[in-house]
Amino acid sequence: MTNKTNSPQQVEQGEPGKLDRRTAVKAGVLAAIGLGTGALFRGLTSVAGAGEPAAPPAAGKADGTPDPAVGELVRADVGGYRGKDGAERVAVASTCMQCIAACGIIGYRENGHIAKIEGNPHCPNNRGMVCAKSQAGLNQVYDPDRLLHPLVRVGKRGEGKWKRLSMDKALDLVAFGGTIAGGEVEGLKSIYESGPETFMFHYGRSRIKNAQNHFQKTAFGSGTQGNHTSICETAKWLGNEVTMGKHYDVNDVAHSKYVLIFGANILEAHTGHSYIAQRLIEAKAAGAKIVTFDVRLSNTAAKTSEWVPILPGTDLAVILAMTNIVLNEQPYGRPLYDETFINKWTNVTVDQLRKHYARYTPEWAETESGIPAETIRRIGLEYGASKPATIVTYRGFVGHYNGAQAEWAAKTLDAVAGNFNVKGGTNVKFGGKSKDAYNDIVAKENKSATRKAKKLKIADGDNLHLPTHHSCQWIYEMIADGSHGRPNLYMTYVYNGAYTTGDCERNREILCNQEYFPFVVAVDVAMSESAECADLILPDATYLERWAIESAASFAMFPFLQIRQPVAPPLGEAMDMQDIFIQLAQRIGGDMAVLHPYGTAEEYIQASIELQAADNAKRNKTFYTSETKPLQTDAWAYFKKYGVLLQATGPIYHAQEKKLKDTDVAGKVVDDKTGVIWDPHKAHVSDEDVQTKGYTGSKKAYTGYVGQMVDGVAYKGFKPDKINKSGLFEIHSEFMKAGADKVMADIKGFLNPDEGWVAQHLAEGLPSWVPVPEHRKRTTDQLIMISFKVNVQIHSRSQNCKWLQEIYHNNPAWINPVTARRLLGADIKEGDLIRVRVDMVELPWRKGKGVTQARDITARIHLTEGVHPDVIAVSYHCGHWAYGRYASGRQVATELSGAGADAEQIWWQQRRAAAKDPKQWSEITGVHPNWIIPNIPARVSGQFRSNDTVVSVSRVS
Amino acid sequence: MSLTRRQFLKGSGVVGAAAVAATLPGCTGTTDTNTPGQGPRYGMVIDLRRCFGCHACSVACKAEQDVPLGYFKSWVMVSEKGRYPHARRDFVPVLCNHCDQPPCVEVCPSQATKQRKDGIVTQDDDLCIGCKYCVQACPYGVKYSDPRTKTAQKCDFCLHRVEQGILPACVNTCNARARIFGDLNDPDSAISRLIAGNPVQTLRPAMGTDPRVYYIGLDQDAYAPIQRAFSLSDQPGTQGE
Repeated sequence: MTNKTNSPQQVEQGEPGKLDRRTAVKAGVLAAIGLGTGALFRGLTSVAGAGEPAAPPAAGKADGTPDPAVGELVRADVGGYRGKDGAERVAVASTCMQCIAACGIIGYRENGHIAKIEGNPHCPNNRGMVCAKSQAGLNQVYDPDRLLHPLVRVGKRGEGKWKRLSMDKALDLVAFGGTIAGGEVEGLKSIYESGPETFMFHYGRSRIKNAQNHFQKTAFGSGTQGNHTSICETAKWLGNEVTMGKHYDVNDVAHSKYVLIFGANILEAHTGHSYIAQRLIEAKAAGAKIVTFDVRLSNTAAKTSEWVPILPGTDLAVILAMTNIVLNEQPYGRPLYDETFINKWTNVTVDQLRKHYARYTPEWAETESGIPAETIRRIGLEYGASKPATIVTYRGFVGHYNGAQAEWAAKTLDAVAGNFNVKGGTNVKFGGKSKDAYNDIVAKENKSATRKAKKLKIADGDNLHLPTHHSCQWIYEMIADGSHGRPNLYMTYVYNGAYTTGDCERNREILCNQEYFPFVVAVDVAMSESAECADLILPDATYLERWAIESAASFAMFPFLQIRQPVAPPLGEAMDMQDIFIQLAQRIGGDMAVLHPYGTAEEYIQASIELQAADNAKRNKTFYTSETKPLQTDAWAYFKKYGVLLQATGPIYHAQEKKLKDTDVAGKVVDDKTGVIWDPHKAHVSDEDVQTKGYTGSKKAYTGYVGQMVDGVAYKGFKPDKINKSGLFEIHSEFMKAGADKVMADIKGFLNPDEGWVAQHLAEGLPSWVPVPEHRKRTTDQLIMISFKVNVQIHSRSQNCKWLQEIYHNNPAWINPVTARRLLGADIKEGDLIRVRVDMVELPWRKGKGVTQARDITARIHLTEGVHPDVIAVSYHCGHWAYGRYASGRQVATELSGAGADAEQIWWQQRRAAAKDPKQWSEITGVHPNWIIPNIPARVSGQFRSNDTVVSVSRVS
Repeated sequence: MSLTRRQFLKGSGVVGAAAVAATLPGCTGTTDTNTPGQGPRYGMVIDLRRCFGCHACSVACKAEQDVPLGYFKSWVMVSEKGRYPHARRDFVPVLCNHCDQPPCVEVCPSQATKQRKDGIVTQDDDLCIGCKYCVQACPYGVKYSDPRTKTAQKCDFCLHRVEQGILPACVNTCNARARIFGDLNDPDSAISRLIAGNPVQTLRPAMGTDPRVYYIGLDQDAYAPIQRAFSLSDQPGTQGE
C-alpha cells in the first residue's frame, strides 16, 4: 500500500514545487490509515501490503471475496484523509438516507463543513460503495433554500406568505396553540387532555419509528397515523405476508444461477439499490442468466441477458403460466418442482396445484401479455431447471389493480420451484434487532403514565379488503369526507403528500382547507409542496445531522445494526425530530415529561445500544465486529467509530427449519386447526377465546406466534406478521380467498364472455388471474401510462440536490416511434409537445364518490425503441412546483430560510422560465405524472395504482 | 465543459490486447514516464461488462474535486441502438485518459499542464494563464475552464488520495466495481492482470495519444452520436464554454 504509490523521489520529479506539503500530507495520513480496520466485507483480500501480489481480477463474489476494484490502494475508511487542498478530513461513520436502502456511509468533515461522503467498507450490505444519490447527500445540508428556522403563516393557507420565528416560540405554538394569521389554533397540550386521537402524525421515510410511536401512541395516546407505503409497495408486502409471513423478501442474487426480474429496477431504484445492484452484477460476471420483464428498457433491462417487453398489468398471467410449466413439464426426465418443500412446508399438494394451474397455459398467457407462448415456455423451463433461482419484483409489478395477487403468485412460483429460503433464492428478510430505551426501559418503568392509543379510522380507505400497510393516498379523501373524524392537529414528517400521491390538485385543495385541517404543522428540510400548505413549518435536521439505530434488510443474509449519527451538528435552528419530541413532551408536562426522560436523542440512542449490549450479556450472546470477531470492547464506542454492530457471523438460510427448544415451547398452546404453537398471553387473548375462536379467529393472535408443528416436530416456521396465518408457507390463502367477492364485484363488468371461470378460480383460494379492469375497455387509440424512477434521483426528496438535478431535471415522456407516428402523425419528432389526458375515472364501485376528474398534463415526447408500443412512460422526480430553486426554479427568500447564498449558476434554468401552471411542461423541471393518476386504491391491498392509468395523447399546437 | 456532442461524438477505437502491449510506456520511447522497473505508471481499466451507468462516479468526482455546475471531470455517456424489441442501451464512462502522448501538455505555453513520471497529467492553477489551448487540444473534450478561477481543470486520478494510499473517488464508489485503477508497470497488479487477460480498447486511438484509460467491451457505436436516455438537449457543457 505504501511503497507502491509514490516514492518521495518521484514526487519531487513530478511536482517540484509541492514536494514539502505533499510529503507531509502523505506521512500524516499513513498514520491515520493505519488503524487496523481490515473489514471482511469490503473484500480486502485483494488489498495487498507492499510487495504482496494483488488478487486476480476475477469477478468478485459476495462477502469477503476478491474485489477487482481494489488493487494496491485501499478504500476510504474511518481513519480520515486530507482533501485536495491538504485540509484534514475527519471521518464520521453513519447511514445514508437519500433512499430507503440505508447504506453504511462515512461522512468526512473538513473545518466543520461536510465535504465528502463515501461508502462505509465495514457495512456488510454496501461494502464501501454508494450510488450517485448518496454521493450528493451533502447537497441536502447546504441547499441554499433549506429551511433553517421555523416559519409561521401570515397569509392565507397555501398563499406563500411567511414570517420567521424562533424555535422556542414555534414549539410553544405547537404545544399550547395560539394565534396564526388571525385565527386560533389548538395546541398539543389541550388535545392531550381532551381528545388525543385528533393529533395525527403523517410520516414518510422517518426511520425513527420507535421514538415516534413512543411519543404519539404510548405517551400521548393517539394512534392516528398516516404512512407512505402504499405509494410503492403495499401490494407487494401483502402478497408476502399471506404466503411467507413477513413483509419483506431478500433476493440472494449474488448466489443465483438464474434471476427473473419483473417490474423491478434493481440497477436504478430498488429498495436495496446499491447493494443488490452490486450483487446482481457479481452474479452476471459469474455467469448467471438474468431475464427482465419490463414495459420499458430500464437500465436494469438493458444490462441483463434478455429484456422481455410486457403489457402493463399482465405479469400475473406470465407467472401463472410459468408455474404451470414448472408443475407439469419434465424436460430432463425429472420434475422441476420441489415436492419435498411443497409437502413439508406448504398447505397444498402437487395434484391440487396442477389441477388449478392447468388453465394457465403459455398460449393463454400470450393472449393477455402479448409475449409469445414460446418465449414464456422457454423462460419458464430455464427458470425451473436452474437452481437456485429467484424472482425479483417491485413497483412495476405491484403498482396495479392486481398487484397483491401477482406477488402472491410470484412467491408461490419461487416456493413450488424450491427456491425459498435457500442460498441464491428468495429469502425472508433478516434485519438487525436492538432494544429500544423508550419501549424497553421508560415505558416499562412508568407503566401507569402510558396510555392505550385511540385512533381515527382514516388510514385504511373505505371498504378495502386487507390494507395491512394502509392506503395513504386515500387519507385526504377520508378526511374531506369527514365521517371518520378529522385531525385537530396534523403534523407531517418527511412526508410530502401533496406531491407524492396521485391527483395532486385534489391533494392541495384538501390540505389547504382549514375546515378539514385546522392546524397543519410540517417538519421539513425544504419548502415542500406540502409545507407550502402548512400553518407552521419546523426546520428538520437532515439525515446527516440526526441520530438513529438503523436495521436494513440484509443482503449479506445475516442481521446487523447500523448507526446514524450527525456528521456535523444541525445548521441554524434545525432540530432532530426525536429532540423535537423531547421538547414538546417537556412543554406538555406531566406524564408526557415523565415518559421522555432523556435530554437528547443521542442519550436515548446510546441507552438503547447499551441495553442491547446488556441483554446480549444476559443471554450469552455478543455483538461482532465487521471482521466477524466477537466484540471485546465497548459496544457504543465501536458503533460510533465503525458504524456497524454485527449480530451473526455468516449467512443464514433455511430459517424456517430451525427446531424449537423445549424451553421455547414449554407452557405454549398448539392450535388444533393450524398446528401453530402460540402464546395467547403474549397476544392478549383470553382463555375463552383460545377455546372458542382458536388461533385464526382471535384478534392479533399472530403476535403470540412461537412456531409451527410439522410432522410432530416444532419448527420456527414462516413466522406471520400482520395476519393470523400459520407458520407454513401458505399457497392456499384464506385471506386472499376472503377478498374474492370484492374483486369479482369490481371486475365482473369488464370480463370477456368466455371468462366465466374467473369467479370460480378466485374462490379456490389459490393464485388466480385477475385482469386490470380499465385495461379491458382501452381502445386502440389509448395508451397505458406508467411511471418510473431513474438512477440519480429518489422519488420526491432529492430534487434539492444540485448535483443530481444537474444530471436529471426534466422528464420527457417515452413513446415508441411506431406508436407516436400512428397516434400523433408521421411528422412527430423528438421533443415535440404533447398533451396526456386521463378521462374521468368512473368505475362501477366508485360511482359518485371520490371520483377523479378528467385531467391533463403537457409533456415533451421522447421517441425511443426502448418502450412497449402500448405504453407511455413518464418518470417521477420532476415537475416540482416548490422544493427550492434546484427542483422548481422557485427560491425561498434568504431572510426566511436563513440559509447561505449559493452563487452556482443553474445552467439548465438560464433563459428559461418555469411554467405558470405546474401541469404544463417546463424545461426547468419537466412535469409530474401524478396530476393525472387517480388515487383510488387497489381494492385488496390499498395500493396506489401508479401504473394502471389509461390515457389519450394528442399534439399541442 | 467538454461534453458537447461536437467534441465527443467523433468515434472511438478498438485495439486488441497485443496492440496495447506494443504501446505500453517504455515501448514508444517518446515520453519520459516511468518504464517498468523505474516506478509506477498509473492507468485505469473500465470494464463495460460490469458498468451499469449509475453516475456514482460522476457525482463522487464533483464532490471530491469541487467541480462547479455545468462541468464534469468524469461523466457517463449513454446511447441506445437497435429496434424494438431488440433495443439496447450502452454506458461509457469517460474521464481524462492520462495519455502517454498528451496533446494538452504539448500545447500548454506556461507548463501548467504537466505529466508526472507516474503518468498522471496534472494541472497547476498557479501557473495556468487561462488561454484554454489545452481545452481545445484535448481530443476527448475532458478539460474545461473553471468559470470561477478562469483556469483549466482536469481529472488528476485524485492524486491527493493516491498519495495517501486511497483509491480515486470514482473508483472507490463504483458499485459495479467496473473501474480498476493501478500500476501498469507492475505485472502483478490487478489492472495489469486484467489487461493481460482480456481484449481492451481505447478511445480514438487514431489520434495517437496513447490513452492509459482502457475499456473492456467497448462498442464503437456507443461513443457515437447519442440519444441520451433521459434528457433532451440541455446537456452540461452546451452552455457557455
